[in-house]
Amino acid sequence: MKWKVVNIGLQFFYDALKAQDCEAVQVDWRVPVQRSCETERMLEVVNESELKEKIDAANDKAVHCIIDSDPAWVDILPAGEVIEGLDDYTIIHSGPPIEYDDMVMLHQRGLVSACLFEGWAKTQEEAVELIKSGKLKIMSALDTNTVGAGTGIITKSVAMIIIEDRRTGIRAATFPAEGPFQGGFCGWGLYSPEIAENLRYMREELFPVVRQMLKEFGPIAIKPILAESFQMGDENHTRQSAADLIFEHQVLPNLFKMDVPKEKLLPVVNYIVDTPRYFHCYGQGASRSAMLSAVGTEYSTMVTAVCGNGVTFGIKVAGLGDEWFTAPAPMMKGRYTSSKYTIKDQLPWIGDSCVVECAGMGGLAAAASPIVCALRGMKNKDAVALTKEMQKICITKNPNFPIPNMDFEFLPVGIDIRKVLETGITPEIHGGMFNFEGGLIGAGSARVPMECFEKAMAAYVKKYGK
Amino acid sequence: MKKIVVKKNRYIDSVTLMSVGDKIMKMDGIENAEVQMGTWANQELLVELGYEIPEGTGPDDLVMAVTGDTEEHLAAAFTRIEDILEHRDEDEEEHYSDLSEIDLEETPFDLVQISLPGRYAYEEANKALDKGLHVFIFSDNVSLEEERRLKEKGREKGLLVMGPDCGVGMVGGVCLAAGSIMNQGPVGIVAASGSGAQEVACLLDQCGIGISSLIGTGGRDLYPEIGGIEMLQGMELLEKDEDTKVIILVSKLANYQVMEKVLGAADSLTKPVVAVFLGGDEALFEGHKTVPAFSLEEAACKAAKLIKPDIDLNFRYEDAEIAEIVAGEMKKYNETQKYFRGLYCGGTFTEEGLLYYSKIPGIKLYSNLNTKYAEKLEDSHVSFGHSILDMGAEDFTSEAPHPVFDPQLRIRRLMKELKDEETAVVLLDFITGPGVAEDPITPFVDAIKKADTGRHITYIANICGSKQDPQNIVEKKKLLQDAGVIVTASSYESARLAGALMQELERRN
Repeated sequence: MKWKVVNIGLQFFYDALKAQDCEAVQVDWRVPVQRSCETERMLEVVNESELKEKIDAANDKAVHCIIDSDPAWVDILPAGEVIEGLDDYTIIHSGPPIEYDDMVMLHQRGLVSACLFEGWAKTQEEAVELIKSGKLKIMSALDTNTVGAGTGIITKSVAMIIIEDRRTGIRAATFPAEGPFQGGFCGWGLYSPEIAENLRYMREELFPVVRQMLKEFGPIAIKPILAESFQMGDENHTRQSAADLIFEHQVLPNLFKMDVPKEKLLPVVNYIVDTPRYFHCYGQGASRSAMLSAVGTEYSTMVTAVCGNGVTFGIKVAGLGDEWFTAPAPMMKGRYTSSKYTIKDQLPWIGDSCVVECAGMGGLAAAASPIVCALRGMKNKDAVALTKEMQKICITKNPNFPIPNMDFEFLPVGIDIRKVLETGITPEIHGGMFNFEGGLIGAGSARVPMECFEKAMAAYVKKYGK
Repeated sequence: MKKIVVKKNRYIDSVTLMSVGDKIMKMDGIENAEVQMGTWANQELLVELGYEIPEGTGPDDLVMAVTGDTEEHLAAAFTRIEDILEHRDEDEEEHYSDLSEIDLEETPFDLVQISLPGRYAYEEANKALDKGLHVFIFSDNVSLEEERRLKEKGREKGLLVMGPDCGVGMVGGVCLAAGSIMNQGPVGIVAASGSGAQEVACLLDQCGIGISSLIGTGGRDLYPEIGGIEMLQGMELLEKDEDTKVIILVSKLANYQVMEKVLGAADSLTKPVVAVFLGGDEALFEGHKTVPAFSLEEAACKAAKLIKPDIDLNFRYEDAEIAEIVAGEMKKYNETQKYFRGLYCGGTFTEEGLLYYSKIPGIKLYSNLNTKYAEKLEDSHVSFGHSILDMGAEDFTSEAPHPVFDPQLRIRRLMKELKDEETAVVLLDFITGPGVAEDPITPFVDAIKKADTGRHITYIANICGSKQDPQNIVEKKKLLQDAGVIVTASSYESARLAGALMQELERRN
């Protein structure tokens, strides 16, 4: 019998083996991590035994903010009532802070849309003038208790889904999808009289019914839905197919039990059922509410925010409070929704939805969803390998989320900047791809730039190192 | 032209569909391809792209829309879409990113072949040995200390460590790296010289004698630091191997103590051993049972005789034949043509050539190698006098791929030699096999045919390869001959002919 051969290295030697009908495999070998002297020095500081002990304890505490969280959908309220610092003449956007002139068109348009929507300006020109005058307060969503998916445009009048971590009482707010307008105002930064009318309609016609439901039947727990959907092929960033169904399964009977006329009820049912990936904002809200209790955990090296604004990309670290560590925003690789799109149409990473990766979902949960991996021509095995790779940079595993595909091994959780620098592995993040006009043109993934972690570690060593 | 096909009630996940269009777009003559479920949003998109959607198409229907230049291309695209959706074109392999992921219980692999940059090779080889797998290391730039550690570990575990810097091998019926495909047969070879072993095996192949195994040891196995660990291990293995009847050892001249140890070990074997240490002399073999050989060709012939005592070997030119060729060629040169240019790609062939030419009295040799047989060229890129180049040496391969894998480097050099009006004779060696250039010969034939020097050039070539190799050496040999190249049976015969021409040129010069 012919020998079976593993080939590591030159591809044509592998081809030569195959040409002989030899049973062979090619190992996709990669150059081992090469750390700079500066990184080595920083790692030495954080690996010093006394500090290391403190970090490990702090990380344990921080990661349990996620693992032990008990997020529930408790209400729908106007953004102005729940988001800290969101006063009149204030606009929230996604990604790290950025000046108007440096923003991508999507964000610039979003700010203008916000002024028109709130009635602070009557025309686009007026809006631009107002924005440039400096009279507006412009904030990053992840500097508050919300999450800005896509462009993340939020002003005080937008109705928000409220997720409360019932362990801590901390609330996070996320904006719901805008029905027929999908991303619409908040996600895509668009404005038109129709969009404004739809937002009013949601606020005044649909949501009162939903609020009544929550009042009558109590909050909807989010974690059980996440857990079950992970076992049904969702990784809960790019795909929520199962979560949507489980969610509807809980919500719809409640709605039908209510004493509401059919003509008021049906639009609500339609809105929930017809909105694709409706559950996405719940997953983000749950992640954000848990993450908020980890922010400021002294000594912790756990990542609490990961986001982009189409220009820069930033992370935050629990032990470093609200400081941003930024690098140029990466490009996503994946599949376009139509073959008419190419990389030239694609915007670098924009949006805050990677908050779910911070909580151990999305890219970190690749193994839960082979189908999302298939987006990039990868196989089931690759999905598992990806999650296993992510384990190497995470603090621990989350016993809430066992994955059938991995023989019920748990998903990794809590990105540790120490481990990222040590291994040279950066977090895999899933997401939607936008074009410069703000259209959703595909889905794919990217890696968080290493530069963010290097900068964060430098700040960490400065603060905590001796 | 546009074509749209709707499959009613055929559901496919949109994620799966997203990848289909991409693949179709890469096909010939296809301008656009959309494979989508017929949702309203998708229908809108298709209309925007100029497709007419059949009445009654809905979100549960699969819509396939393609724009292309001809009916044929469209038809091919639709066939391919069906193939993809029906998984008919799945030929993807298992995917591994690390050796540790490979489950030997699932597939009992035997050997790991490593061709990584040298500094990474040790770690992977070590992992392979820990997994209980034989190792073949093509990579060079592995330290002697690492080589020794690997080989000691291999010896302890009864595993082969072929290499580092091992160019050819054939074990378990599989030819490795740049080796040729040999028929199975009674001769086992252990070699510290890749192209040398390849030549011996290919000559045996021409005699109709196959190989049981070709165990490469890497070029430094007979260094005192390694002490021939692998060669000794290989000999032991072949001694035990039922299919092996005769053992051949191939090496360049090496450390005397180690060679002595190897020959001593050979004495204790029950099977006959033929050995060639290129550059060595009779004294080396004194007091040993081993059959001595002093060229690769001789080693092959002596082993062949041991297998088939009455075999008729005809690799060699008669002296008269050589004289005749030389006389004929000499008449055709003009007076500026004075020198020989050997453009070798096999390291051992260069060595063998240098060794041979250096014994011809009154000839001054130049080479890019640091060798006692020739003066070092001032600039490897400019030939001078009789120049013998190892074009697989680092001064060339640092600039371009090794000529065994890509002919371009050597073709450029050939053109340069042809421009030099002092060039009279050019020597080329060719190596074939599944792991080398797909066609290492035709580009030279084309270059030779196109070259318009206005002078007569003698081309001498030999092909080191087997008839089983994908390059079809019989056909390639004819191509060379048709282009006026003298194709010899072996590297040694090429050297004999070249040497005779050099001698005659020198006499005239």
